[in-house]
Amino acid sequence: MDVAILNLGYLLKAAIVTLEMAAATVVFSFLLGTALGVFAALGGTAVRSVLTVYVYIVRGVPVLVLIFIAYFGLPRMGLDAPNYVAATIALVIYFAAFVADIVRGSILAVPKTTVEAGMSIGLRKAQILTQIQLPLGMRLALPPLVTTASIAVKSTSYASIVGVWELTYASREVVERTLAAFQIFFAVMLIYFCICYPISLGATYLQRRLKTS
Amino acid sequence: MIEVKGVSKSFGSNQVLKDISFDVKEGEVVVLVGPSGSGKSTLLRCINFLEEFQAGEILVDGAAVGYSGGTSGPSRRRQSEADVANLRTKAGMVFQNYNLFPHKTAIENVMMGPVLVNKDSKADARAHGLELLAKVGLKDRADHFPSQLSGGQQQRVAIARALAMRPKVMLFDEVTSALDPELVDEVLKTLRDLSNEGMTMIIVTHEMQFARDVADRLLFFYQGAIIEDGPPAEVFANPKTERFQTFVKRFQANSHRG
Repeated sequence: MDVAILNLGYLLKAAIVTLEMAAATVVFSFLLGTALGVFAALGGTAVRSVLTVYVYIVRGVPVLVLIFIAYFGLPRMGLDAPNYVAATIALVIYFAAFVADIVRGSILAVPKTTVEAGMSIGLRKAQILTQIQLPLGMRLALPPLVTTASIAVKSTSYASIVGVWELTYASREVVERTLAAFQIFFAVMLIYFCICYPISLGATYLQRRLKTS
Repeated sequence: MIEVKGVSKSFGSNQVLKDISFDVKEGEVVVLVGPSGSGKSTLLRCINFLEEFQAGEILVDGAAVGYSGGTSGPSRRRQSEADVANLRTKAGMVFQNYNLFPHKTAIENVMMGPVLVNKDSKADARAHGLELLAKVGLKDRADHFPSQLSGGQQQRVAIARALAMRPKVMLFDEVTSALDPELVDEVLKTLRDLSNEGMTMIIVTHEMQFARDVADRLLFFYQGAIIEDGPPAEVFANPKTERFQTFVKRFQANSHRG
């Protein structure tokens, strides 16, 4: 493991780039996805069908292909985005679709009778959304959202293909230099785990706090 | 206090309410009984505009429910969301399955309407809410979540939640049907207390003894129409229809068995 320890500083520096991309992907895809999910749950058939098409397209396309499209496509649209920005945009578009689907389903899973109870005391639609449907729906959405967040964090490794210097890219550099593939990738595996594990821990803590019984 | 005038409602081709008309005076307790699917719960839900209806008119405290511009025809329009929400506060609704907000404590459930709809201060809403919880015998359960309460307790919190809006009438939709038999009495006692205070109430129930005891008037629904109407003692003694006799007999048979 000496090789890995010698190069740990270099890998951790790259891990910070991974962490930044991961944070941006999770935050923006969750904001966009939640907004879309709410619209789809409450909106009319038009909104719903647009979102359904979006979700189906994203489900049927590999993340990597989406990253290539963003990487080569954005400059053609006149947007000279750095490669890590292009990759992050692709990741946000990809994961927002899954978040939207989860949020939509969770809001619709809140019993209609609970919503009617809100209506009967005179609450307005917006109040029913913020006071009843979102708090209860988000409790249901939490476990699948955690899974999605973990996958999103790990998917930043695809950005290495378009030359983003993040953890996976840096690990390949080190392997080429040291030829110690097993040790280096084992260390990288541990670093990814250390990034993802706190998400699960945080979610477990949240779930316990939000429990009503 | 409540005027129901020629209300008709269909689900597709199935007409569930057929030209229903009746009035409820202030302080009157009206009980709706009838077999399942006879339309009594649907009518109650129409009064709170949780169901749309295709023809007729319902007035609560003089204000039309759900629609403006006549009882039918092209000028009939749905009221705005704000008007409907405002109207619902005049009638307090209590449901079969309590439908408390599971993420809120008992007192938070009760305070929600006054704070969010009436914009009362939290302190005032809390004080009034605790009074109401005391009234239904649950002052010491104020900070419990619904999942920590029995069915009967949850239902009494639901009654307090509806009362918190200071409604003109209370609507009870089979409020004891989901309860274990030993919990029914505590909820019925709360209803009796309310009627003694002069609250105007419409109660859909299968509790025949309770209906006889507490109601000023009994309406018997059958296939979307009212076929018996009068003081319970009178209706039970001299039913006009055979349907009602059969209905009552079946209930007596069931209660002997149970």
